[in-house]
Amino acid sequence: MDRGELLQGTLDVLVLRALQDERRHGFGVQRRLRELSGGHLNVEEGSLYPALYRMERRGWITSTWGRSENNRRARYYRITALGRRQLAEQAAGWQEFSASVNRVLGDAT
Amino acid sequence: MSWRHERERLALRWRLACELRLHRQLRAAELRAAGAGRWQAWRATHLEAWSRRELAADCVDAWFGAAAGAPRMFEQLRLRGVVPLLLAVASGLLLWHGPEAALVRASVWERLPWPQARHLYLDGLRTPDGSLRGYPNVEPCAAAFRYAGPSGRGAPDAIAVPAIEGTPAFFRALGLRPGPVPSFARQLLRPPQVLMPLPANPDLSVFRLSTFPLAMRVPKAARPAGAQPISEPLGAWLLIDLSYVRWAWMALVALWMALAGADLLRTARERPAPGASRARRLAHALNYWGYAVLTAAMLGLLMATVSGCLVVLWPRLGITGAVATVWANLMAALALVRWCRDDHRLRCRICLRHLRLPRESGRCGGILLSAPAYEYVCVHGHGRLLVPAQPQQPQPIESWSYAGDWWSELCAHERTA
Repeated sequence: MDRGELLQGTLDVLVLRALQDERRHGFGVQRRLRELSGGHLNVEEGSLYPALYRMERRGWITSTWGRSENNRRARYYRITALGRRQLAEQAAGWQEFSASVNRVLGDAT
Repeated sequence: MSWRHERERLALRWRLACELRLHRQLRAAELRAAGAGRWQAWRATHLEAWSRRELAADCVDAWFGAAAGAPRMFEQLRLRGVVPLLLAVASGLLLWHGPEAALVRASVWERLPWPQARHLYLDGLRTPDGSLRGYPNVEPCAAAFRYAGPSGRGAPDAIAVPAIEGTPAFFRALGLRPGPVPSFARQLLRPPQVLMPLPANPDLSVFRLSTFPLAMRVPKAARPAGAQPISEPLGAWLLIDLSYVRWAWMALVALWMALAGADLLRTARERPAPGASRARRLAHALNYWGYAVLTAAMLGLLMATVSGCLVVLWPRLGITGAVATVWANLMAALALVRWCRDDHRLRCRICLRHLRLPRESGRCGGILLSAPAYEYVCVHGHGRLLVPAQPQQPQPIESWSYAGDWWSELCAHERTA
């Protein structure tokens, strides 16, 4: 996987990770990513929803209508088998990439 | 562009609107739970929010891919001819067939017979007990009228004009004891404003006439000669001339065609830029202005339909309501023209997407050489639009620049890098 694809796919892998354990709506994905990152990562709606639509189109996630916690109509997203495979591949790629960067930066401090 | 894509695009926009509404509600609730006040939470939520239109465009692009997501309605030659043809046929069928479309036909194309002196409608009656019944009370009685033909029976004098004959239901609607059937004819109602009571029959007299009712629901049998139906199943008849809607519609389309013609002429006279040949630029200009004319025509048709339906659904408009309706229609027409113009001027000349990322350029002190302006770009690299902050005539208000080949060269460079 080349560097450009890896950086562009970072959001995708984060969203897939947020959907790994249970189905969530868009705001739920955003909130889960904030929780997982300890409040450091706030994915804005302008990036989140196009990513969700793109991944659904690719078959990595599916969506259905449901009811939210405040009893409103909500679109829930769920990861598919293809999405889980993609998550595993991209997570491995990211680990490899970050390890490479860490090796380079290791002597800098 | 295909019709399936267009349908999916609308569904996606609707779905995104639902999702964003929930997203913002939950975000505001989260902020309130963290201690923010109600208005503070809503303000913070809206400050964080993205433009719904731009977000919808991004989601549509993400769904279809950047190339297929653009609303290039007339990009292909066969669509360029087929789409207007289909629209023309559909409009023709809509205008000439179907009971509800008769309203559009009547308001847009045909001369309407009302109000004319030879037709009859009452505004007030004096009942046998001496009380006066005004138009709102009398209007339901219209349903009890019956068209009596060119020579009414029981008319006070010999008439050879259309007359309306009250049926026994007329008295029931008035809450009166059934009596001799009243009959009203043109001679009786000739003065536009009758101040003195005129006898209709031994029991009833007319004390006032209305010359400006908007619509009445009358049975088909009571149809005045030459009247146009709004909706035969509803039994509604249009009593006011709505030809101003037709003129507003035609003016809207004519305005766009004039603007389009001027732009096409300017495009044809310009020297071809390196990025686009003259023929290609003319094709793009046709595409761009065709979209504008189509939008204006569709909105005009919508306006005519809405204004006509208003008359059907609210038939008891008095003079105040009529003036308010005309005023509201004119204001709506102005707002539509303004919206059309604003929406269209900030679209890409090639892919018809909305332009984005406005950037200020120029200086306030440099009116002649570097006038202040806003520069918008097509995020798909088709070109940029310069909109002067202070339009100077007779120069064109906006100037469009094609991105040309440098954008594709840049993208190719990025791909190979």
